[in-house]
Amino acid sequence: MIEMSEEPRIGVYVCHCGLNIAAVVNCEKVAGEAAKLPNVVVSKDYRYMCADPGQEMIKQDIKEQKLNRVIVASCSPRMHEPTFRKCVESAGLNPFLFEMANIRELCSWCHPHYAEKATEKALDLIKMAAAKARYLSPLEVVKVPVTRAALVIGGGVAGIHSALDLADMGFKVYLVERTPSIGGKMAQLDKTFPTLDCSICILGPKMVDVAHHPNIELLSYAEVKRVEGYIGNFRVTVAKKPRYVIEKECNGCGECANVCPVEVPNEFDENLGFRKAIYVPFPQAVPMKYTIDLEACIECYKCVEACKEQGREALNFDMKEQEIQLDVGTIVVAAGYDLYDPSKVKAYGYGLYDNVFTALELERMINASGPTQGSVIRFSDRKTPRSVAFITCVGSRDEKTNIYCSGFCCMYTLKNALLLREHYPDMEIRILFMDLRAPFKGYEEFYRRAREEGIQFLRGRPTEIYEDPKTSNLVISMENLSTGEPMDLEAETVILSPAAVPSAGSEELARALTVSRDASGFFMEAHPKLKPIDSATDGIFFCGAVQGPKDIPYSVSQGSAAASRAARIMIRGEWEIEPIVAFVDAEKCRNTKVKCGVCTTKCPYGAIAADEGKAALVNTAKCHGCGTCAADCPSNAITQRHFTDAQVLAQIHAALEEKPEEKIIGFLCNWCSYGAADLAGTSRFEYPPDIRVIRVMCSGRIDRDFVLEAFRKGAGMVMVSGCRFGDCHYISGNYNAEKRIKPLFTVLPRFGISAERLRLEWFSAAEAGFYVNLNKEMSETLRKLGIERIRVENEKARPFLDKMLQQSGD
Amino acid sequence: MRRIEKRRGEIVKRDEENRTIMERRLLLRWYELALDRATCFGCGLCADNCPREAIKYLPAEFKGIKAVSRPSIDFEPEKCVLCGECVSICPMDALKMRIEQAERVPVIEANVFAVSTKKRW
Amino acid sequence: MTEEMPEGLRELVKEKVLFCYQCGSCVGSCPTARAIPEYNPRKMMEKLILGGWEEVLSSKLIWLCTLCHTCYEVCPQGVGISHIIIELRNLAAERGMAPAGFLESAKQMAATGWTTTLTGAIQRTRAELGLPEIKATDTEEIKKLMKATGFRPALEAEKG
Repeated sequence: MIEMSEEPRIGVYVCHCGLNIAAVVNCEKVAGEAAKLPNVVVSKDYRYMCADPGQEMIKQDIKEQKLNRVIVASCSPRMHEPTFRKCVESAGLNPFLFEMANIRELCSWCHPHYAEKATEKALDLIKMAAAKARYLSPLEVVKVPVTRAALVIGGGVAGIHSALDLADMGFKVYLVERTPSIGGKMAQLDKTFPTLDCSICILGPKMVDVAHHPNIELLSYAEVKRVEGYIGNFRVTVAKKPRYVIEKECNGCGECANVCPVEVPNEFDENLGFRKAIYVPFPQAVPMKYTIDLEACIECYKCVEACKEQGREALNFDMKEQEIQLDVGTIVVAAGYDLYDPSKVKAYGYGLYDNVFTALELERMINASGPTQGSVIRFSDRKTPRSVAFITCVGSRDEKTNIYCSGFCCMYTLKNALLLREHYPDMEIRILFMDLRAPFKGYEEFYRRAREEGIQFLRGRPTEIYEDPKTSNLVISMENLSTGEPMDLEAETVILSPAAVPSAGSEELARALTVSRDASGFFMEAHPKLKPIDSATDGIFFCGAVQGPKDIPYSVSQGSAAASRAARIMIRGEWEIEPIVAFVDAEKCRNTKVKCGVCTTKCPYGAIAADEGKAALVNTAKCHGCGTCAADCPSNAITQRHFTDAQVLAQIHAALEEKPEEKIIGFLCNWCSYGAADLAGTSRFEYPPDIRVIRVMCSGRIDRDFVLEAFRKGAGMVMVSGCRFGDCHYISGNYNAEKRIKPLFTVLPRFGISAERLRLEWFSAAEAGFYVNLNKEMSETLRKLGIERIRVENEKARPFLDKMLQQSGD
Repeated sequence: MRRIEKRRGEIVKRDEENRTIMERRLLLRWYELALDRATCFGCGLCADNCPREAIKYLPAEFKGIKAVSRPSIDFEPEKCVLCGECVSICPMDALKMRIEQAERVPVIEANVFAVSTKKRW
Repeated sequence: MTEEMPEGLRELVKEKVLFCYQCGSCVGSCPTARAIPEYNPRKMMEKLILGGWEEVLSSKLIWLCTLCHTCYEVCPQGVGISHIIIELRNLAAERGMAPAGFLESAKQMAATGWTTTLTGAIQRTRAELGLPEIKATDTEEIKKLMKATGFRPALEAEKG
């Protein structure tokens, strides 16, 4: 293995990435310049470094040139760091002696019209990587045992499939469902497109399989409250709500419901029909156990009597909420979606006019076990309507409500129309649509079938619906796009196709899991193309509509995919964790002399302890690697492996070696701000090439000294960024960073540095636009201030900064 | 024209001439609880016995020693579950309940006895 | 397309009109479209996207918009057709394509605060009828309002 006392021998590899990088950055020139850097022994450029020949080249050079540091200047480390680490490891070099310079997402892709400056920037990024590389140490991965149990959150069709696949593979599965029965939205549907299969008929058997599977423990009427731990070792706290019915004793006979005097609206029937205060959501419910809605119950105890008459005592009004701890190795999130509340679109009159319904309400009506036993009737007169109009895109594709397309509404509108036609051959059925989306297998044929059945299609987006007060009929005004004329259409009933929105409680669940959500509130996958199932947090996977609106085949596929991703981890007895943890220099720690313990107050995981009189100690297994303790330690005794103070400072120095006043030093956190920067590049948004990015795992790692050092070395501007409050991957890192950095806005001007030269911003990985605008703003400010003024301010501040940074004992 | 939201499924309270009506409309089930304010003299038995505490007792208003208004009651629609306990206990028959146009009182049908579990004094 | 699209219009088209996906919400809610079959704001936007801006500019139809802004309220893509029409009217007026008398009335308004001329005869008749005398209006405020609502030509003329 490599000895630290050895001189660094660095190999630099500049990737063309076809033309992705080479079209903007002069890779040959960069490689040539890099060769002149101290300690660089090899410097090459090549078309595709990640491909086999590229990797072979690195391996060969490691052996022949005795390289002990490797730098690949190519795409984002979030993309290929694992690939190249494996590559250097197979050549006998410790994988943590490898560093990447992101000259694609952070350079060529976002500066397409700045060829010369982008090339300069690429060289700077390589210099920075080399500077860090000189200080890298070999690290050994930590191997942790993996609990061979999985948690599936959500019992809809995606969660059910995921649970069954995992259980069939032999893993123990806990399926936690918030409502009293599994089944989700699919259980509410009548038929499914494009086959017109009876929905509950195909779902029911799967639900029963879940109930009977020896490996599945179903926790219904329960919610996930807290998740602690890390991949392979999650500890989940589940709150099981009291049913007031003893599950073991209840056999679902229903005598209790028969005698219950209280009738309240039935949520499963979309409040169209009623249920009793003691109820089962629907006849095929799993588990078939009754639940008491205590808000509706009048505590007459007739149910207790009725149950006794059946020879059982299944009621217990003294039940309390139970807290259950589960130890699992992986988590699959299948929490589903909700429908947009169309009463928010005031013009359509939902909730105001009697005869305007949502598609789900129609499904419940047309369902034979629904409140009307399959009859579709109007609310006003309970007669079957002779004419029905369907309106699509309600709350979708609209910048005022939800910008996205909900994907499955066109198809379920066609299905509902066909069901109506089947039940009512003479009904006038019209579908009013902007665009009709029927992309997948059998879907276009389904559309054709609808036309064949005489369903009329009118292109146009209704702007207002009026109600005729006498007949309660509805008059829809819109432009008929085919004729180009405005028109009014009368229908006895209107059915709206609302958007799919994130399900209630998504915010709390995302926070409990420390996963991010995208701009629309759906849970965000690690990579939209290559990792659509993984969350950014290792060991947590998404499937179904929780990740974005989707139909049943897609949800089922994702359910199986999530099972596969989870099994991949659990099938081995152990998993490797990156050793990017904090460590304490016992000699510098002042807790040995005075009572300190500041680090213990900052750690959100309780991973660092400071016993009296002893130096602080890090529990490596618990440490998640945010670096907040390192930044807040008043004695500078803590640092973070692979992101040491020396490494960060080296990057700052390398970046500001030449023309520092023209540069912006950006500290970006791996999960959010760096993600946004990558996304900006991936999306090809353009911004000026003034910024030099230094990646840290969490904004909590950003020491005040880093910012001050950057200004001391002459930086034009400094950006400190991280996740939005509440979204920090390490829970509280960004709060601590804000507390730490904010005072600089008042301190810096005292030394002569304008406050506008420092920016402290919080944004998510989905906000590429924000990052781009921030860069444009900062570059604008840089230009406005001008090099001269910056130089003058820096000169003035330098003596103060010199003194301050000396005191912190670097 | 003031838009009154009908809120399908929820209880909507309406005040008429001398009546207060609590109405819930489901597709095939229409519930109505009607209070005849002329008959009601504000004894408060309904408020005491409502198992969901959905009835508020409003004491008489006095100007000096002169009573300006009679004691009366008012409903809180969000809490009411239309069980009919108030109907069954009203000594003046001021409360009447109808389900699908027929006069029905669920707690009487279920043979439930009103138990005064809520304190007032 | 013979000429380059003017800067102001080009900016507006790039920032707003390009997003139009031809749903027809504007036409469905437009009071003018109901009355006049040829008036179709959606088709106007399509022409702007596809490069027929000169045709739109010279058309008499852009002067029929009531500026009720309902199209702006209902548009799911935030195009704001009525605001585009204001810009189109300004450009048309600058090229002498405004309807006869329109610009005259506007200039009069900027200068005096009235769209009609207040002659001595009118003042005398008013006095005879016992009506109060009409005082001069604060044209500065009127000009501010005209500027704020995007009215350019009359103000330029005033300055000149």
